[in-house]
Amino acid sequence: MSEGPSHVVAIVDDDAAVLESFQFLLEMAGFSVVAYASAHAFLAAPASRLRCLIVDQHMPTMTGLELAACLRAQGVDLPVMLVTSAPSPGIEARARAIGVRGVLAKPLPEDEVFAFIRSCDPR
Amino acid sequence: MSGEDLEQLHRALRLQEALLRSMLNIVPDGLVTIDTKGIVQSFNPSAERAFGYTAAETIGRNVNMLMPHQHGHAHDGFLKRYLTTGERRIIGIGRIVFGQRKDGSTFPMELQVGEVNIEGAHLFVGFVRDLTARREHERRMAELQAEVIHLSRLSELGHMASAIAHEVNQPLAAIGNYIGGIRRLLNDATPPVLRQAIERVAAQAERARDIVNSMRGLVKKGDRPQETLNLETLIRETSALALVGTDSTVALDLVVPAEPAFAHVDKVQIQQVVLNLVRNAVEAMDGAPGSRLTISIEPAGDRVGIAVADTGPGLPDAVRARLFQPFTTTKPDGLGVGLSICRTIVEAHGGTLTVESPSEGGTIFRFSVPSRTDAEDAVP
Repeated sequence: MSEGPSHVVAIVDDDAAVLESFQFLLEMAGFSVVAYASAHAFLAAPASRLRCLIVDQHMPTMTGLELAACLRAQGVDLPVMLVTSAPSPGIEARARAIGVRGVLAKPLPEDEVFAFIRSCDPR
Repeated sequence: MSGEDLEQLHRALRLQEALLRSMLNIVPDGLVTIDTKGIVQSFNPSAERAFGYTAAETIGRNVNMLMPHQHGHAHDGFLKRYLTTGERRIIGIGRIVFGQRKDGSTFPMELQVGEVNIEGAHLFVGFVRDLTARREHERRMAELQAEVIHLSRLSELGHMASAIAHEVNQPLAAIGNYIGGIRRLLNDATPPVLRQAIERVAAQAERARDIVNSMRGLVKKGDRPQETLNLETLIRETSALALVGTDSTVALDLVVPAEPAFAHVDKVQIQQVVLNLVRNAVEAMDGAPGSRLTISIEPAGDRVGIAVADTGPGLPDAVRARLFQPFTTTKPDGLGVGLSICRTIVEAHGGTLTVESPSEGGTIFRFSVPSRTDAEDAVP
């Protein structure tokens, strides 16, 4: 891959198989990926100069929205895409309120995921 | 015996009789005395109230007029048998029997019978306690309990279906991701048979996904009605309902704000959440001495927070990490969807359900619902 560390896409999902498969898909599509099994793991050791964050909503102890809100409170300006297997108007409204770029339903539509990543300029 | 002694004895007897009469007139139990032939000798005011007959209507008649026909018929036989054999069916034992009122209606009653047998007089005294009110109370409680069980079973079923859909969706999502990645590895050198097999895997995954989606569509309810409700009333009623049938040694504290808090919610769903949290808390405390359940209503801007705190042993970390995942349970007969249901409901109300383990012990669950300051359209 020609892309440097600033092209790294961070993904967070508590389901190990989903996380691994998603990493595989993104890597096969040519993206650099760093995967985390929980929101706390991400907060404990965030990779520097990330391109964007794709996070699952339904995780124990800290949800995707809680992670996004936490990053915003810390002043971290990172494009976030929320992934959920149960989209609802409530989740979408709260996602908008804390500046999450978009909400995608699982199973993920590949094209929309790739379009989102490409829309996040490498920094 | 001197005349003076006799006079004193008479006075004492008159006093005893007056006392007895006043007692008979005020005791809440019905008192009926009969002779050895079953003929009513006295009938106090409580008995008049219970049976609807006046004393004048019963005295001198057979006591079986106060019993449903089939029992009344057997009564003379019981009485005769007792007098000849001494076989007790009720005397000194007491049992629950049915009485019959003047209007023909019957009612359950607790009957105790005592015996007075002195020279020249052989009487039986029946103490009658009307159980109608108690039975009615028990029936109502049983009804409420059945309602609670039905409500939670129904909701568990619906949510179980959607939880299964969610759980199956995860591996399907993984399969989809792998297929997407594999497709990018295919090139002109890929044997057509492998390409075809991969497309068939993709088609089968798609098929499974359709099945899951239709299952989800099945449980998805239409727009559920939202109403503005007084949260205190809702929580008070629901927690009372949740405590039905539990051996409730639990002290319940309701901490409410000075101004009544109104919320705009789906009543049945929020009841479901409160019911689940209260039941979990009571089960966690397991009747330990000093068990205390505290439910607080805490308005915060456009939302109202609700906290359910128990004094149980707290949650082990291992349980806590998987707490809201469906099919996680510590109960032998639980489905493990309760908290997962609660979280879904709370999220549909725009809130989150969180859990805290305070340092002083116990567990606190917190969630919030949208508040309504104007209570104009409120159901009290």
